[in-house]
Formats: sequence, structure tokens, C-alpha cells
Amino acid sequence: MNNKKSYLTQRQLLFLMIQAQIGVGILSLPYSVLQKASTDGWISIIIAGIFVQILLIIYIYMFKLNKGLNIYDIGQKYLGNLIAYVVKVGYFLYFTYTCIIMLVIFTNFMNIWLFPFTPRLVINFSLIFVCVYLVRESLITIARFFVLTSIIFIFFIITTVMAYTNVHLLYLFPIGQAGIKNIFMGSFESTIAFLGFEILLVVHPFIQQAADKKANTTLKTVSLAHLFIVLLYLFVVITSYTFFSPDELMLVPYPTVYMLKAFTSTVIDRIDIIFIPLWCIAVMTSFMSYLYLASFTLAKCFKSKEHRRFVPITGVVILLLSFIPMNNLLITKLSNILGIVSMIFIGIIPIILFLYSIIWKERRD
Amino acid sequence: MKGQAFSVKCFLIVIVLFFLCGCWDQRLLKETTLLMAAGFDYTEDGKLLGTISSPKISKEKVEDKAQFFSESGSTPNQVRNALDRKVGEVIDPSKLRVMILGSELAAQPIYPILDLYYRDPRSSISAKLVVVEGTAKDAMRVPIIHSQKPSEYILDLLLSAEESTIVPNLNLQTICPIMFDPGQDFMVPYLTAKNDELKVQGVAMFNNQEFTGTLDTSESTLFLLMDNKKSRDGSLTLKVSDHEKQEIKNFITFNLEHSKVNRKIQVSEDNQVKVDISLVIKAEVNDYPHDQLTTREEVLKLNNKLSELLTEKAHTVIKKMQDANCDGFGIGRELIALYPERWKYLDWEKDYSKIEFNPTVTVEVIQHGIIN
Repeated sequence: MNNKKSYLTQRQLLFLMIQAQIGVGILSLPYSVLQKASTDGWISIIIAGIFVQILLIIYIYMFKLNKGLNIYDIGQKYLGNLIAYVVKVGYFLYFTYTCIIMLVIFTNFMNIWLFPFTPRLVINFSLIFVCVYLVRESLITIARFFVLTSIIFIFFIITTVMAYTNVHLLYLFPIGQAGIKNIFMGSFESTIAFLGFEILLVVHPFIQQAADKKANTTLKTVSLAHLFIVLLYLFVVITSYTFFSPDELMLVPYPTVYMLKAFTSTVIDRIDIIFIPLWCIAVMTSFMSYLYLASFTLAKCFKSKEHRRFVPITGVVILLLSFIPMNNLLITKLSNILGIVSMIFIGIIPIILFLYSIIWKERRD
Repeated sequence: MKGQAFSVKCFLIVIVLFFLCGCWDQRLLKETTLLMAAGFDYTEDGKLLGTISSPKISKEKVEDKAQFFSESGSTPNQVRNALDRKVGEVIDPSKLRVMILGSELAAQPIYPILDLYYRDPRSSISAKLVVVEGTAKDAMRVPIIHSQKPSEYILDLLLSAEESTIVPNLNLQTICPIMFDPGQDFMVPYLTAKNDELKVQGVAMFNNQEFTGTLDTSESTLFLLMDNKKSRDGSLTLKVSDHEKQEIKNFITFNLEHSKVNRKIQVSEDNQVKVDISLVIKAEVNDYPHDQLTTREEVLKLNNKLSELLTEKAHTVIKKMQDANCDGFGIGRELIALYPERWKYLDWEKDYSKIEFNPTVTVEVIQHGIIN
């Protein structure tokens, strides 16, 4: 398997994209969007969804113009060795930074919500250990695991549906009260929750191409995955907006889990406790995606073809850096920085390379 | 060879199991006191008085009895810590069933008392909130006298009252959005403890976070019907005449088979709010000693009489709600959502009591048991 060149099927790509995108963000998404866009947050989600879809189309066309290359090869092709190397290192730092933020938010949440006495080291280590173990394998193996664990989304939706016994649709009205500016601010916030789709920048050359060259199968698959996520986020956001009144929601940073605390049944006393492990899997898979991206990029930096050896190194770096003492305010600040930095790596750099590809092509023609 | 590999695998799985469970966050039942019911009052010097009850667990068996402790402090958490020192084990709020507030305490904003329960990830916010006349401590003592657990005893009272459309079905979490919404108010069950008996006396009306008035059981039923919250069953008793010699003959009791509400809100140019509520009740008469329900005329006459009486009663209920400043129907929320321009000009705290309600109740007797 390792030496033989194997490709991702379209189905594996679909789940890879879904799992990479859904991570820590989903729990606090309704809250972070509400802060900016009040109860019009769901409009922000749609706008952010459209924005990401445009980026995805750009990515796909960029790869069409540069067949069989990933973002680093494309950089090498147009920007020259030195700048391309800087870009590579930049991406490595960005992916590692994302991993750290994700891990810190995750551990913090687990510490507050489930395990107040368990040392952070144990939680951090167990997550990283499991992830390193899997990510050392090939992308195909990782994708298979993602397909397998995607069953959690069914349970995810079922548990959230419980809230519909007690929703009040009037909380969403009047529509448009936040004003256009705030709605756009909100969509910036929600773009962070969509992060993960940049995995396409690296994995595109691994995708099995359809026999029919004209059919845009990859674009269709990627868009389908994205549509699923937009709908899931809309569902989660609208559910929490109609379950909590706007003023109460300002007090609840993790509304998606919090609302499940209100329900009990004879068999399951606390549905939130069932929900959290499901969410852990979603976090784990998106952490794996970023760990893969970081190690792959590191391997590229050292001009190595195998990412395998670089996974434990990245893992240890992340583990160590995640211990910088963190309080809630610092975490919020760091994740805001991530939001801004990410725009460079998901937006600006790919768009520049896309424009280069077009100009290059026209010159050649 | 193959069998050996398999047994090695099994062995490894068993070994690994020992490492899978963390031991920092285990909470053993023998080391915790399960908090099942909690009550809060003010002491005479203005401090908080917390009362808890929990099942008694001894080494041999779990006794079906409750223990009962009280302690005072400045914050709910200080009270809990003081109680912790009293009970020996650690108090675990994850099984809380009922939260009882004394009427004096509830008359002041209640959120500060409940904050601890919303903030603690372990506490159960699906617990029911009730207000009792007098003190929570006295109310919680009643089930103890009958050697029953306060939590179960009170919870059963509430559940049966919920089922017969006397009190709304709410818990700590579901009242929270209402508490924070400027355009809505909630009502919770209101209990009295007299002569060593606990009784559902109706509902306690809240304005924002403060307890401001009560409705008796028939009024609360009518309110719930007008708010379209009919539960599985329910009944109303009305005095239909007063010229019968035997007092019992003056009354009628009917079951609520089905009900339907139509609510219309109109806002005029000068910000006058008018609310029309029309309620249709399909009733089953099950107690009417006159035995006259044979002719169509008689039934129609009864329908008219009942409609008239209930419309009058509906006016009383709404008057009481407006006096208590309790917007139980959520009229304000509807105004925020559908008339945001008008809402800006309204001062709901003051204007709610001035809005015009126009309730009409129509009763239709559709069944009368197995005799006429």
C-alpha cells in the first residue's frame, strides 16, 4: 500500500472534507455568530457558506490549470524557490497553530464540562497519541477511518432534534435587525467554523480522476460536502436561537451542548454527556486532518516524500506548545488571531496562485 | 499458531482496559450525597437559608428515606459548602429533581439564587422550580413527617398537576429563556403547606425574575387553555345557578376534551395594543345532577351559560395577570418579532398592564358520560 500509488475515491473525499471541517467550532458557533450578528446569525452562516463555496471553485480551477500538482508544487512553479519555501513554512506554522488552538479549546472544554480533576497532560496526550498513531498511515487509511466514523453525524442530529420539543420561532424575528454590516461581521466569525476545507489544497493530487474528463466530479463532491456542513450549521444555529432567547444566549458560550442539559428520559438521564463523546470524534478527525497537513508540509520543507517520520515530531511540538498556560481570555484572543491569519492561507495565497495560473496559461497560448 | 495469536490479542485487550479508565474524575456513590431536592429561604437577618434532602445510603442497603439538612450563608455556594461540612460526603447536584423557593425569597430577583445551578456543568437543570407559600424549609418537612422523600413527593404532585392542565410543564432550563426575554414572563407551580399537607394551590406569576402574584387552580387551567397549553386532561367546575336548595346542585364539572385558541394582536398608530383571544372548549360533562341533557335546547342553554361564565372568568384571570405584570402569553415577544417599529415606543413594564384584552370563551358540550 505504501509504495503503490493509490487514490482517494470520491466517496472518501466527501467524508474527508466533512470530517476535516467539523471540529471544535460547532459547539460555540451559535454563540460566536450571535455576538456579532445577533439573531440574524443564520444569515451570516449562509453568506460565509457562499464565500467558502467560491473559494472551493477557485481551488478546483487552479488545480485544473495545474494538473497533478499540490499547492506547494504550484508555488514552486510560479513563485520561485525562495518564496515558495517561505510559503511552505508559513503553511506549516499555520497548520500547527490551528492544531494547538484546537487542542487547547478541546482540553479546556473537557476540563470544565467532564473532567475537572484530570490533568490536562492526560487529555492532551491521549488525543495526540491516538491521532499520531493514525496519521502516520497513508491518506487513504485516514480517509477510510473518516468514512467509518461519519456515522456519528446521524446521532449528532438525533440528539439535537430533542431540543425541538421546546423551541420558540418568534426569537428569530424581526429578520435583518442586526444590519448588513453586523451580518457580514458575523459571517467572518462563521468562516472560522468552516476551516478545514483547505485540506483540498494538499490532497487534490491524490484524488482519483473520473474517466470522463469534462465532468466536474471533484467539484461536485466537494460542493456536496460543503452543502452538508452549511445545512448542519444552519440547523444547529437555528435550533439554539429558537431554544434560548437572545438575551440568555449571551450567557451560554456552548449552546449546542447546554441545551441538551434540559432534557431527561427514563433511560438516559443526561443527553449532553452522550453528545460530548460524539463531538470528541468530530474534533479528533479534524485534528487528524490538520496534523496530517502539518506533517505533510514539514516533510515537503525537508524535501522528503514520506510524511510518516514527521508526524511524531509535529505531535510532540504541538503537545509541548499546548501547555503554555492559557486562560479563557488568552484563548479567545489567540483564536481571533487564527481567524485573521487563516484568511491569508485559505484566501489570499491560493487566489494569487490562481491568478498566476491564468496569466501563465494565457501567455503560453 | 493462530489460536495463540488470538489469545495474545485477547490478553492485550484486557490489559488495555485497565488503562482506559481515568481515576481522577471518578465519583463513587458511597462518597457522595445525592442532592434530590433543594429549597431556599431568607433568614431573619437577610442571609440565605438552604435546605436539602437526599436519600439515605447505608452500608447494607439504600434506605428509602430522606435526610434533611439546613444551613445558612451569603451565597448559594457558601450554603452548599456549609451543608457539605454537615453531611460528611460531597454533595452531588447531578440528580436534582425539584428546586423550592419560599414565597418571601421569590419576591426578590431569583436569578442570583439559580445562577450556581446554571453555571455548574454537573448540576441537573431539568429540575422543576416551585414556589411555596411560607418557607421552603417548612414545605420540605411535610413529606419527611410522612416518611417520604420530598423530591419524589413534590415531583409526583407536580407531574399529576401538569397532566391535568393545572400547572405549566417547565423546568429550570426552560424558564431561563423566558426569564431573560423582555417580552415574556413565566409561571411556576405554587404550593401550600398547611396542616402537614402539601397541596398544589395554582401557579405563581413572575414579572421578569420576581414573584408578583398567584392564580388559583381553575384560573391557571383557564390561562393554560388560553395559552394553548392543554395537557392530557383537565377539568373545570363552575357554579351555574344559585337557586337550588342543595348546594351541590348549583355546580357543574366538565372535562376538557379538546380546546382551540385563536389569538390576534392589533397595534394602532398611537401604539395602543389590542389582543383578541378566542377560545373554544369541547367539554364532556361528568358531574351534573340535574340530568336534563336530553333536549337540544337544554344543551344549547348550558353551552351559553358556560361560555358566559368562562368569558367572565377569563377577564378576571387577565386582570390578575396584568396586576402582577406577568406577560404569560408572551404578547411582548410577538410585538418584538412582528411589530419591531411599534415595540420601540412601548415601555413594556408600564404599558403591559394598560393593553386591552378581549377574551371570548365558547363552550360546547359534546358528551355527557353514559347517562343523559
